[in-house]
Amino acid sequence: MITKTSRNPVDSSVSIYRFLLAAYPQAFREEYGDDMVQVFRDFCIRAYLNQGPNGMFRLWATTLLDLIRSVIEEHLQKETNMNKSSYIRVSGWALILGAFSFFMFFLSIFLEEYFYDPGLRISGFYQNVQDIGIVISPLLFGAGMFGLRAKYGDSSGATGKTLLLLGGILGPLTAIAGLIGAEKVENMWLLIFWGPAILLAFLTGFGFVALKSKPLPRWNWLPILAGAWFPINFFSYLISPDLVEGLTTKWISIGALIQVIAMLILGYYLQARMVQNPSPSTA
Amino acid sequence: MADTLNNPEDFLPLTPTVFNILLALVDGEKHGYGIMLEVEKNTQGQVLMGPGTLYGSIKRMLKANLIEECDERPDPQLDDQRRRYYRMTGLGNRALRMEAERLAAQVQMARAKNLLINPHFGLSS
Repeated sequence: MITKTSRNPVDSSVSIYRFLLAAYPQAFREEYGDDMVQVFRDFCIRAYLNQGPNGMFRLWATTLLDLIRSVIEEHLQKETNMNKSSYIRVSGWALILGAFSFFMFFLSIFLEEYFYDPGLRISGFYQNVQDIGIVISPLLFGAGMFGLRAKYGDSSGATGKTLLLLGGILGPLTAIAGLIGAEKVENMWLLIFWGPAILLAFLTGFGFVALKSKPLPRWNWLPILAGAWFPINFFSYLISPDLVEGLTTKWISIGALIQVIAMLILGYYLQARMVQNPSPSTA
Repeated sequence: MADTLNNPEDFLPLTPTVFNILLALVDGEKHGYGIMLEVEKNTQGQVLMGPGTLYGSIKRMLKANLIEECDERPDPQLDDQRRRYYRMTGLGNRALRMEAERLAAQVQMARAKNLLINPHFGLSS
């Protein structure tokens, strides 16, 4: 048992240590501060009883090094979590906006088809909406794919993460290449449509992985609904244009609408507040 | 939402701190000071972690589901009831086992290359 005379240096050390804990992030301090003080007190008592002042000195040297290192680590961790969390929320909004621009793209196609009137020069307006929609949406979807990867990648496994990464990179790059080369190389404009088709095909692939690993809180079939329709139509059209052109507008509209709604829900999931998935490799 | 990884392989390689904390919990639940004493003993004092490193690691290991906090508190006559006790989860156990096997394979390789001169670990000429 520690004596009254030997208690003072221990209590003083504990008081100083408790004061130094203010350097940690508040949440960490509130959760573990008392435990850390208690552990430090235990070590102080042991060091003082076994080695006297020299033991206390050695304990303080190692504790200060540990404190500096762990304070930096906890603040960096907090910063990383905050950045990641913010990015995921923004990517959720990107996916929602992408879904709207994609919807506008389809809507303008049908409006142009039904209300085409050269005298009012209205086709130019619809054409512009289509061009903007088909170019902007893969960029916004790309941001959404990276957000999905950041939020659900770890719990969906290496295959799911890779599919989201490839879709997030290849989709926007292909669309941009199509946009840049459209006027220079014949038929390169087709890449503008290849972009979202590739991206959404990878999203569909992730959807199949999600069916097994179930990374989403519910409705793990959403990525398939959000991804499948456009690539199926696009690639079917490339293989057999007659097949797709034979489909009625009604069926195409329903397919597009389901896809857009699924994207909106995915975007909502992403922008909703989240709990971070820690990586023990940083521990 | 699954907030944790479910595959122990995803955690490999474990950091020395995480490995030693899990190793300390193999024999049963322990509080923070108990873990630190066990780590010190297991490593012959070569791994000394302070309270900051210990609880930073505990925080991340709890979130990763490698360890969990025990609901039961000890008998107040045997220990301080304010202490929080931790135990290893099934996932933590599998990750520790796989890491130990990974390290053993590395030691085996070092042995095959005659790098081990300490007779406790195998010998070399």
